Amino acid sequence: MAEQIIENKIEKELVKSESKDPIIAQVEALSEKENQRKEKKFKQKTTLKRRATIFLVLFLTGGIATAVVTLYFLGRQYISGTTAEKLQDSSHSYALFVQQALSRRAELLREYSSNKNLIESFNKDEKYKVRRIFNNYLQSHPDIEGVWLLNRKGNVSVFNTHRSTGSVIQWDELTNKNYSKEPWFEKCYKTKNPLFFPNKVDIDTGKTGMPTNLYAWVTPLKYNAGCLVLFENTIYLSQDIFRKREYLKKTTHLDSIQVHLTGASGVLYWTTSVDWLRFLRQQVSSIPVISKAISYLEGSESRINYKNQYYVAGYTAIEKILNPQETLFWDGLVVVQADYKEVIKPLEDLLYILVILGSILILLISTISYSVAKKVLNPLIDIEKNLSEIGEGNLTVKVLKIQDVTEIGFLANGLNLMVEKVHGLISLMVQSSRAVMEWSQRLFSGLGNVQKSSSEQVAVLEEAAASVEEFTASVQKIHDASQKQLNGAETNRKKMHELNESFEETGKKREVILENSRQAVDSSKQGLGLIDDFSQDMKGISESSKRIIGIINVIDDIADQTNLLALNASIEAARAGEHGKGFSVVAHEVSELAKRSANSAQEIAKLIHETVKKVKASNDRVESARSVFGRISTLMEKLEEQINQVTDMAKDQEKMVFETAERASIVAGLAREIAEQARLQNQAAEEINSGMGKANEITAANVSELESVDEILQTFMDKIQTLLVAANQFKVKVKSSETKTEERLKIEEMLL
Amino acid sequence: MPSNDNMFSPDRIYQKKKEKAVASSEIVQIIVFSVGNEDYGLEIEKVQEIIRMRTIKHLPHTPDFILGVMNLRGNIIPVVGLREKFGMEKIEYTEFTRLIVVNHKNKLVAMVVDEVNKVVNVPIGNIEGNPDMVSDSTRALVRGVANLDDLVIILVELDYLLYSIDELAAGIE
Repeated sequence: MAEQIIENKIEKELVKSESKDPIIAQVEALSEKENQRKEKKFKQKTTLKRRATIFLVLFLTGGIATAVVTLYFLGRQYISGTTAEKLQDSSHSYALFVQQALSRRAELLREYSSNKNLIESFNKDEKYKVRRIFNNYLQSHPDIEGVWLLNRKGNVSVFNTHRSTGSVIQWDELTNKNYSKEPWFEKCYKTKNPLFFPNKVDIDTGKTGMPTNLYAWVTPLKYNAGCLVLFENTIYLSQDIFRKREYLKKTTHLDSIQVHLTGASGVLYWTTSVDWLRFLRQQVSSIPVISKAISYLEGSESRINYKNQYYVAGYTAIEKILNPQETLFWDGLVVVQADYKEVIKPLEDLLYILVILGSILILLISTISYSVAKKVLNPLIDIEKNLSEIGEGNLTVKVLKIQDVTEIGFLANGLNLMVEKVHGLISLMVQSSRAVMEWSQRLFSGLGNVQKSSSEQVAVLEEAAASVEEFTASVQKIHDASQKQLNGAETNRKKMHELNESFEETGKKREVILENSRQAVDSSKQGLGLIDDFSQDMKGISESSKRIIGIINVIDDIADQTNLLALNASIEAARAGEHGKGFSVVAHEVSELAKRSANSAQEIAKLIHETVKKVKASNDRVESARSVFGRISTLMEKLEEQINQVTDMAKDQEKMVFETAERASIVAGLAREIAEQARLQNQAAEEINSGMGKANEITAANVSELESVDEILQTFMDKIQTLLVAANQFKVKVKSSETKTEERLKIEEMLL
Repeated sequence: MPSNDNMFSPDRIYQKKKEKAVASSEIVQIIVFSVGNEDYGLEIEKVQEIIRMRTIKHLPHTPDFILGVMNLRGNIIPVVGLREKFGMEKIEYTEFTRLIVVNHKNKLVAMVVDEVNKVVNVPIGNIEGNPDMVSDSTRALVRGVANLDDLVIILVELDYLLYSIDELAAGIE
């Protein structure tokens, strides 16, 4: 068994070594690798330095991003703080403005009321030309509450109609404060006509369609969250307040506009909003008027709930809030509030986005830097490991497997080349000595094989002779069988002739059947003629009955006409009154007669209809009989045709039987030939048998010659053995593995 | 059922006529005609004559039930379709279709009916007033119901049927 395995392996080796010489292949591979390395050196453009700079840039951008994020975190606190402050400031300043304006106005009004000449002098004075213009304008436009004038210095002048007196009052220098730096003032000033907000002009868009100048007042407030505006003539406003509020909501795009209005002229209007009250208490409770209003509204029992909004009606309401002097001159209060969230929320959203972006950037940078460090360090560690292994003598290891496109890659490539060259030299030595060894081994084992196969050859030849004999016997059998077949064919032929005679008899019987069917066709044709005559008579009956029906229809028509005449006659009789009574009886009788004749005509028509129906039914039956006859004759004709066909087929059969008989005799001839061939085969087989014996003798002589070559090879192999032991100190990759060389040693021992 | 106090309600009018009829004679002659599946009746005094269907000239801008006008011995008279007037389905004219020419307020008007059956003599006692269950619009149309053996005849109110004809007839003349 062991020998066989070894032999198989040797054979495989033989096939491999034949395909390519191992030494030449090794040298070629080395030179190829060197060429590749040189080409790569030119192509390598990306260095470690470049990689480092890219990393640095990424790191810097990441750092800046994080810095920005942290800055925005700080900024957010600042913004939220300052925005709240600003809101408070602006609302507070407006509150103060209102307070000052109130007191100043009260003073001025008192002066005006005490001295009416002053107003007249105003009118005459050229200095107040502008005032007169507004006076005229406001008088002719009762829907306008008033006009604000803003001058270049930032001072505010207010023209309001005082509708109770019918005069227009101008207020100059309401406060000493300069509003030129206020954002709402700037916005107003930037419009095309900064001195005057005319009726029906939108400041923002320049569109017309404003109901009153209230919008001109309110628009600046859009840019100042939370402020107060005073104005007069609340009666008018309160009538129109809902429309105005809705309009404000649409035009200012502020969701939470709340208009709070108190009117001295009779109506106090207030929308309750918990937030707003809280705001008022915090920001403007220092103003006595407002604090009074709040406390009153919170504690009042005379509130009316209408659509979830509270209204306090009655003139007395104002008296409770304001002192009598103020009530005279102060008509209303409008407060417009912008939503705090409207201002802050976009900023907050921006901050959230920035924080998310920053965190994503940090994550990205950290992963990139980790991967870069890993790429630089890992190859160096690998090189160190592999070099120590090479030092121990294992030359099959490569310094670095990864073909890195950096300085480390070049270093690893150089070391790889060195190791490969050393490895190549040693492996060449080992390989060449091994090859010699292998060749001699093969030769040795080849000899044994030749011996063995020659003895096997002898045995095979003997077996062949025996099988040839068996073959001869079977050929004889075939010969016998073909003889028997020959006899069988002869008897077949006789039976065929008997069959032919019976065919002729059936032919005669067929002729009789044909005659009978021809007679049947003739008799059915006669029946058809009789039926035609009958149906002709039927047609005559139905035609005459149609004529009768026509006559009856005429009778019916006459009866109908008579009936109509009778009806009209009875109408005439009725018109004649008492004189027509007798005539009406006659008319009645006539109509009865007409009806009876109509009825009998109908009955006749009915009877005729029935007769026609019956005639038609019998006609149908005759038709069906005709079709039956027709079918019989066609069937008979078909039968005749089929009989003729059968005759033709019988003749064909006859012919075929005759042919079969002929063929049977041919088969018999063939069988004879087969028997002859079988005999010839038999002779040839016997000749082969004698040839085999001679071949056997020659092979035996061959075996003894081979044994002398065996001894010479044994001595040659001993010497190569010592060379191999020396070379095995190095670990080298050779085509045949180490285990194989060990096995080879065992084989050699066995052979010795 | 509210009581009929109205002086001009059809019930009242018929009641008065009935009283008159009782005074003069006890038999009323009624021409029986059919529209759809129902038998209707009309007092013979109101009928001028009964004729077969003949060609009708259609008039533009008239209500549905005014079929047009026809020539009756040189007179142009309006034609009213009773099927259309009663809101029934329109059908093709048959050999039984008749025109009843009535004398309405001294003007002749022809009415298209499905069939004229006969003239019947009805004792005045067999004629009853309006049935209770009919609606107001039907009340205007129905004068009463005549009961003769197994036959029930609805007597139609000519005033209601032809009230819109008056203006038209005036226009034609």
